[in-house]
Amino acid sequence: QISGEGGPIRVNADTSEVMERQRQVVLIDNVDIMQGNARLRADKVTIYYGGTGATQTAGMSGFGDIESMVAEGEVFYVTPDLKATGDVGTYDAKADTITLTGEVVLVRGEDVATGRRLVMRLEEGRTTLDGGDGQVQFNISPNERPAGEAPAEDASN
Amino acid sequence: QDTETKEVSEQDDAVVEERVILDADNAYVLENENLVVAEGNVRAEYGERVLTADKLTYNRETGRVRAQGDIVITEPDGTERFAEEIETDSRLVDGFATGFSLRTPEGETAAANTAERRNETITELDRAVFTACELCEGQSTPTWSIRARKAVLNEETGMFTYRDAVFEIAGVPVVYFPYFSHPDPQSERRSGFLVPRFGASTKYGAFLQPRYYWAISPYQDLVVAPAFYTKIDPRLEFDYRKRFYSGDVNMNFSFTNEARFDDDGERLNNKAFRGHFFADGRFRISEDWDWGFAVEEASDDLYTDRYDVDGENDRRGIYYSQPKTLLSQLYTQGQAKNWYVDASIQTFDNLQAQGIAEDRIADVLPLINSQYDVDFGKYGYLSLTGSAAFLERVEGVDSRRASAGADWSTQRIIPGGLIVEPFAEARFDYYNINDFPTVDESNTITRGVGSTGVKLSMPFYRPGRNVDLLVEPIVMGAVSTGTPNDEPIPIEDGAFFELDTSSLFDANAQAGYDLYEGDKKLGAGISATARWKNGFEISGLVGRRWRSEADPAFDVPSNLDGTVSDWLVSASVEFNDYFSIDTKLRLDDDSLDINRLDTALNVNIEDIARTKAIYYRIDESITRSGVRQEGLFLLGEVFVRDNILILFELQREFEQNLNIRQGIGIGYEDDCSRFELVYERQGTTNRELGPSESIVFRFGFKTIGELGSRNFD
Amino acid sequence: CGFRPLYADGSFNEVGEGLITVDEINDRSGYLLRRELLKELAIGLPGLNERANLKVALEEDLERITLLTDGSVSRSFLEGRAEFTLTTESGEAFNGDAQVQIPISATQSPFGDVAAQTESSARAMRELAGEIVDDLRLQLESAR
Repeated sequence: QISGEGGPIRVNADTSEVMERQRQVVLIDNVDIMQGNARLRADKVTIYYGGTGATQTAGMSGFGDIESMVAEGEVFYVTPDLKATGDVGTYDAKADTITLTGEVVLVRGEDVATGRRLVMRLEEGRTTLDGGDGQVQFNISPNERPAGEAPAEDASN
Repeated sequence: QDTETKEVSEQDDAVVEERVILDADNAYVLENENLVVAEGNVRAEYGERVLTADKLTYNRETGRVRAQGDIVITEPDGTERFAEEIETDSRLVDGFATGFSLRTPEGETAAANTAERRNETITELDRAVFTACELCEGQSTPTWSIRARKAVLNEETGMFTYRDAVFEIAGVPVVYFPYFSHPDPQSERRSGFLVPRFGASTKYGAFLQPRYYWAISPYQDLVVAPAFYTKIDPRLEFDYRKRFYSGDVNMNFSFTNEARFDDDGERLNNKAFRGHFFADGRFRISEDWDWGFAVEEASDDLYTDRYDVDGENDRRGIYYSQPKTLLSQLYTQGQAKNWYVDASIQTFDNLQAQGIAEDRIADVLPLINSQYDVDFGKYGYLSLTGSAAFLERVEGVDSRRASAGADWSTQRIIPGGLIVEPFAEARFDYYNINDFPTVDESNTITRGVGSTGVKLSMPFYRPGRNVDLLVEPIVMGAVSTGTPNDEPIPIEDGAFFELDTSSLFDANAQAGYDLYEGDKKLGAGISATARWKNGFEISGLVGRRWRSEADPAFDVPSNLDGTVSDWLVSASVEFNDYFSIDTKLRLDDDSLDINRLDTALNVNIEDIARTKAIYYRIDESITRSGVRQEGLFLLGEVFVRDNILILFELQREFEQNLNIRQGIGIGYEDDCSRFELVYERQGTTNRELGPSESIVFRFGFKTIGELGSRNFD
Repeated sequence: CGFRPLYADGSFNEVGEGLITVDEINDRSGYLLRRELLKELAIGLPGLNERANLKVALEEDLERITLLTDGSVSRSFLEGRAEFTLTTESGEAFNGDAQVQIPISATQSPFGDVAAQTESSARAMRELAGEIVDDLRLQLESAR
């Protein structure tokens, strides 16, 4: 799951390849994975299934739970609270984390942060941004409004 | 929970508000507590304010920032604040800090266990220490500091105020103040107590003069300074300043109700109202013109000596007053690129003379100098001058003079490097004199004088590996009106003058208007300058003047007597601006021994010595009083050990074996304070005021102010 | 013995009107110093064949030596100090400082003292102008 609240995952992409033996599904071009109010987009996503577990994936049987996902090329991860972009994104089910590396930009409310490596622990709601050998830069607007409370726009879902 | 995705809109519609830029080795965000935590070399910038720390937590809910570990906040004006832990708002302005300290660009430092900054203007320090001394390594306690239970810096009123403060010198508590305040040196003027003056003298015993500074308005201030003496009654002194749109006025006046007293403080007559009044002002009339006035009055001749009133010899107008003579003047001055005019009236009050002698002092109503210059480029420079001097005396000669003149000169180079400077000057004088034994009855005298001639000079240059040489022989020949000084004109303005190297090559070597150097004359000399690459330089001039015939109007001291002048020498030795000696000599024309010697020495070597000395010796054969004169003026200080210095002052007339002023003292100086303890002995005698001695103790703290009886630079 | 006339190859200022301008200096002494400098620099400076501007900061002081028994003056010294900068049109700068002392013998009559102040500052400005020009001649010549 790519959202802290779990729920059904809807996936679509221009083309997808299923590789039964490796229990992998490769999605290419305009890959858009949604779960609850979280969304992952990239040019190419490879999903690895563990083969066990109760997850039912439409059209594919016996794949079991998603073990991990690797997204490459213009990776976007958007939740109501934040929006993160990077060159490569990996989701690790066991660790329940999403990691973005490369030119990472994190936007929360009006704050913008850049770094080299972003680790989001979804359940715990803790996002760590690391500067790699360089430094992390946060660009915060000091108004007192708590993040997430966006300027007047209608709710989308 | 009503949340919706938010597209990052390209144009930022919020008002352009300063953003906080945060850099750190790494950072993490806690969603539910809405916390951003940055760790490792954290640097937060808000506008020009910068905070660095080991760790920083920024709570988006409350907008509060908490920083820990080796925190430094640099204010836009350069003030640095240090703390171990701080909790402040997102603009890094107000907040609470522990282990706090602060250093301003001028080097003042304050430290406190805790500091609270409620808003932009109030910072409250708990158990604080304040000093302006730079703490170098190894120096644990600053020279002076203020330690207080509580200190508040109000940046609006610009005042540091302390509760239960102890003033410490080199770590030793010296004096306790329940309440003490001094202005933040960076703020502008504040009313409040200036640092008091105190000292002791045989004339009036010990004295203490507290001074209250009242900033009446942004354009006016007044210092009220009552002086209390052990031997005599108190005296009240005021310093008033006011700035107008086009100028300013300064006043210094004092008064007391006391008898005259001698140098031992013995009263000589009954008490009466006495005082002094010094004032000056200068105002701009237009782009080129301004006018001004200066007043110097004292109730009795010795008042300023009795109370050591300083500022008597200051320059208050376009003319200096003479020591022991008070000068009041009203003047106007106009100046532009090619003309200059000044006109003034002056009245004098001689503090030595009484009765008849006082009446013989001429008041000047008015004195006018004016000059108009025309540049003819290749054809030279023409100056038209006009001047007048009207002298009125209660007793003695009234002499009114008006003159108009013109002088022209140009410079040409003759191939080969000879500079030729032909010149011509002419002047017409009109005198109206009474009470002076003129030849015939009419008391007006008119006179026309003039000169024409040429000045030749040829500068030679020789570059060297480590010294460059410049040598210039100079010759001036001139023909002037014959015997111009026969008319019986009172000599008011040139009697004191003598020919020296600065007038050796002038057509008319005599200064002033009343006397003129006529007949034929020749001035010749050679000047040389040697300049070493290391900044060492020696320069000098030797010369002499010949006249076609002796003019009885010129006496021996003027050096224009007879037909041959004494030898004139001027020499100066300089080494960068550490050291310089300038000497002017007059050597007897046949025996070559020194008739007159004037020498000035200046030494200024940082942290080693600062000294100024003037020595002169005049042989009796060329003095007007027929008495040999030899005098020394010496003032200086020498560092004997780092920060410890010896101060010395000597004014001595050797011929009369008279020490006018002697002073010896010890001082301590570092970059934030200076202490002086000086013993001074005054050797002058003027009626009942004979020699007196005094102890002067002065100490001053950089940025807070100076204490002591006479401020020092 | 290596000496060479400074202005051996004629005047550097044949163009007639002054190549070197001097900024205005305040007060009477400043006015007189400026006039003297204009006269002395009319023939130009060795090796300078472009426009140049001279700025002078002038300080004047009257040092009183009061060594008579009643404290009145026995000798005075009129001190003139000038800091100057010559900047050429091509941006080259030559700066330096000069100082002079004119001794004045004491005179009892107060007006005599006022006249002495006026006259000695006029002489001091002439001597100071000479020193400034000599300094510039040395600097420009050694810079050639």
